[in-house]
Amino acid sequence: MLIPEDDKLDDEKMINIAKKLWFIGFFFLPWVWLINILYFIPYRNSLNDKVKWYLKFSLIGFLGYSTIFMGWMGIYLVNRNKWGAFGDDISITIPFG
Amino acid sequence: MKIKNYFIIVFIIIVLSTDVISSQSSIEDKMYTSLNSYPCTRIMTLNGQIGCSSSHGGDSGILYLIDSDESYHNYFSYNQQKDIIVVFDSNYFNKTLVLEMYSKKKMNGALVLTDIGKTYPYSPEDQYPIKQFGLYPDSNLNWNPNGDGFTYMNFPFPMFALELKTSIIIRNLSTINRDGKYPAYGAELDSFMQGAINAETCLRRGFCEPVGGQSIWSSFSEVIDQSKPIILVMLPIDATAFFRDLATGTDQSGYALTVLLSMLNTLQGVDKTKWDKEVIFAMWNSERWGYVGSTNFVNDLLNFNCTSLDSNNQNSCSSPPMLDLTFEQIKFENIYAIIEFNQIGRPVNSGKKTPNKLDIYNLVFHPNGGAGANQLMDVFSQSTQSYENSTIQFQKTTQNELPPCSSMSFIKEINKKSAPNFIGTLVITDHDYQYNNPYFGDEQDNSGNINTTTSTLFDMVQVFSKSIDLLAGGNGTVKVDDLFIREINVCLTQSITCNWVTKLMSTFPYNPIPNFYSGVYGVSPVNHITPIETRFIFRMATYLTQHRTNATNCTSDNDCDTSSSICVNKVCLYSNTHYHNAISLAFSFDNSKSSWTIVNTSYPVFVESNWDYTTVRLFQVGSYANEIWFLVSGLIELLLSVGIIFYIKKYLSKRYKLL
Repeated sequence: MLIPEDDKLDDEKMINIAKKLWFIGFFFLPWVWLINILYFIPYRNSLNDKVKWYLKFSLIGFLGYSTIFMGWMGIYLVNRNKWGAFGDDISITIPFG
Repeated sequence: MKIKNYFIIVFIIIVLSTDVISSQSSIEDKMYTSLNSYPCTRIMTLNGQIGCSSSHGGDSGILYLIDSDESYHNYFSYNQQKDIIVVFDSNYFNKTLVLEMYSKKKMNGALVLTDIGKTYPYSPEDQYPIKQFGLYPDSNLNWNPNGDGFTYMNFPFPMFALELKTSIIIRNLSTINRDGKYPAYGAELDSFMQGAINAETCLRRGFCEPVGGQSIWSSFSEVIDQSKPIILVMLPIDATAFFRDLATGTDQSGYALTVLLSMLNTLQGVDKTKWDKEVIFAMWNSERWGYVGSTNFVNDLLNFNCTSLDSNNQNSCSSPPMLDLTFEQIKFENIYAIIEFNQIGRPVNSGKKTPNKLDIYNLVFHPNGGAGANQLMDVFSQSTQSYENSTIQFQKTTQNELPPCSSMSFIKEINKKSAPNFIGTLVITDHDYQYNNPYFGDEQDNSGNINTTTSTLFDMVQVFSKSIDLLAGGNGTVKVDDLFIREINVCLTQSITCNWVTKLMSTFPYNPIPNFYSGVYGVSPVNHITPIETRFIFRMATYLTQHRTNATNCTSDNDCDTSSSICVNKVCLYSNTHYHNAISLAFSFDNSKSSWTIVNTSYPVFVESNWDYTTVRLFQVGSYANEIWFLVSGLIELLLSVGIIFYIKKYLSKRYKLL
């Protein structure tokens, strides 16, 4: 994304990167949203408003998705056996024991 | 230059990798020793699970021997940072002690030694075995007072029994541990069971198979004459134990089976032309899991209806699947009498002696069904009295209820309409009320559990054979073959690697201990898993009741044309001996999912988990101080080598300007 000689990050490039990472995150990749935020931490003092918008919603997306995902994972793992045939139907692999 | 370097590097890699591979396997062999062991496996029931399972990958710990009250009490205060594998002397392995230990302090696994047997009577079975599936589900009797129900409990840790020589070794090694010497000995127990939770769940997932097997019925008649009344002579052949590989069950089943097969051998030489009744000898399997074999047979006699025959074999049904339809010759309404032998190996000494000074033992009659049973009892009594030196005599029971027996499956269905000619049932046992078997359902029910001599065994075979001959219409002249009786007794109660097995079977038994646990039925209605003991009984019954031979130079059973013929010594033997499915009526096979399902929960539901392997491995453990020293010296070595490399690098760069 960045060529070593062209080290300068101007506004246009920043918006481009933020937008791309924001877009990619929608493919069920919440950690890309987190990367979006982490990537811009060294530049946090010189951020464009538009970039800030992308970063704000990336953070919301990351936290929201993670909550839903972790929550579902917890519920599934604890209750999978109690759900009987339904629990087996929604599983790709059923572990032994 | 470059190619030469390339070859050098490849050569070094090959040398290193082969060296690593060979040293890897030999290091593992030096670290671990595999032990010959028998696992406690898992069986699922309708509502839960029984038995044991290890964690995935096994459970390990240091060996702790419990062979005295002192070591038992010290267990609770044993402050070892390592996990513990408890090594039990037989006398300390029962439900009370194990549960008390496990509730107060977790153990990682248990090994049970079999070199010294229990010195007290003990049964891990229930006090009234399979009561809910018998004739008296609300009975208050306790046929098995030594029973504590240990076999039907669930344990989340692995348990293994060790065979004799291994037990002695482990006892010695555990004593070394107790003396506090290092390196100590530890073991890894791996018996991970794939099935869990309950029968329905694991059947749905395909992680288990229904408990069952094959029953065997046999007749001397080439074809069952459907105009003659039928006398059923039967017994259960399967046995149970906490460690299912050690279920020899000599008094429980094996001794009676010896008698029955010897009766077949005796009656083989008797003139049967005057017989006016059909005699069918039936050996039911999986009876201990809810009278599965006998219930299945009765149900098929009454309700089986073939909707489409197999196009290749008219004696086989494709829907519903049934490999052998010969049982349809047996009509339920022709059943005239039922005689069952159930636990006859420990009769009580009557105190009297025969004219030639041998002890006389009491066998007990348990009649059922009214006045007709008296007729059966009279024949047996008269038979034994006709021999001056018979060491057995009969008494009638004082109990009103029948003991747990396979006849119950028949009695449930017998009434005036279904069997109009039926005169009664006679169950012959060695006990009046409570079992004389001190080790019912325990591994110790082996040949050492029989309290009579072989002359009593010969007398039983003679008296029973004569009685059956008389009941069938013969004149009662029988002659027993002592040698055969001795040989078959050894096969079924001491070691299955015996002459008859070598003669009749093409495979050699892996485990010499005769094991009559019924095992699993199979993976589908026609794909059976039949243990060697069941196959041996079938072949022996076929051999003894053969009515025709054909010296076709056969090499396997498939070369002989019917399903009930076997190839022995290049000769095809034909007999009216057949297998019959012994699987609980609770199960039905779903062809679309290719799995068993539970369709009727009023019948017994037992399924056995699948597993990949079970092993016990022995290894050595260093003391805590030793291990800390290893860690510290390793760290010192690391720092030292790093320091040396830095120094050399500095020195060489200064001195030779190389690096």
